Amino acid sequence: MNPILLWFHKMGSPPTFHAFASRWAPWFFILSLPVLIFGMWQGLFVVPADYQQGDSYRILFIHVPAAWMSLSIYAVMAINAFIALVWRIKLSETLAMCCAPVGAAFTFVTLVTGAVWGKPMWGTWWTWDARLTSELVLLFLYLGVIGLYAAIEDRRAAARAACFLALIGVVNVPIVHFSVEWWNSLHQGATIKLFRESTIHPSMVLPLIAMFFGTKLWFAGSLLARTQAAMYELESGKDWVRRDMEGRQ
Amino acid sequence: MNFVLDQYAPYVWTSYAVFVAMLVWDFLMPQLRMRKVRRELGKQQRREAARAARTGAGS
Repeated sequence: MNPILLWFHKMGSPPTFHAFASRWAPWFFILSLPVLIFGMWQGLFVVPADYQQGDSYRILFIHVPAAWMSLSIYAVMAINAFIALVWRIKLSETLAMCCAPVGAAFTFVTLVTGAVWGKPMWGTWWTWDARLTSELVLLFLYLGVIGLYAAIEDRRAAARAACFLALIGVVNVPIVHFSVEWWNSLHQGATIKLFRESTIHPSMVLPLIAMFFGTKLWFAGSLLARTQAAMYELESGKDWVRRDMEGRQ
Repeated sequence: MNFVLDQYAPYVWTSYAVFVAMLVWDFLMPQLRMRKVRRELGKQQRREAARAARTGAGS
């Protein structure tokens, strides 16, 4: 077996994952903090004000990375849900279920900061615009996954049902992303482009990149920590948990 | 840094505060859950040990 496949194979075993998460989750949190603080400091105090929006645009350095996270966490959740449904791997189920609250939190932050930005710039907290509405649907999808997982007594059956919902909901991800192109939207289009020249001022890119990597690192830590706790609870009758508990006393 | 007194300051600070509050929540949730699970398991193990000791003494 090749080493990468072997690694994934081993990681499927709950005690191995537990040891891995114990070791790495704190590091992801520790690494993400200076990156996030740097990004926020740059966004708040260093980059110049926007020529049209003045200082209100500084919300961008929270709003946009949070929105990126709301979509990428959904993708991580859907991929894990797919693996869980096809290969019935308990760890993937748990990973998928632990993505949901973090994704919901980032989506919530996106919506709140969007509203707080919309008030001074658009003159309204909320409008039923394609981008805003599809992002709200994303929040409901996350809440649906959390709710469905909590509503069914049998943990494995609950995870399967919620994984199905997560997988079906993935159609909403491109809708959120392309909504500003497909429909006439009050929301502005993308200014950071991978394949064409970005239309954002270069000085504003550095804090955005910092926030991009900072939130990714943070999510890695958060997902490991959440999944570790959830697996520990799910596996509480097993020998490895018993041994781990005895080792702590 | 003149935006500290800018008309948009409340909006900007609210956004950053919401984000930081979310991170704090996200950091604490798994720690609290792990602690709760370990506490419950510890209780359960002590109960089982006590029961085993009782039945051991009775036989």
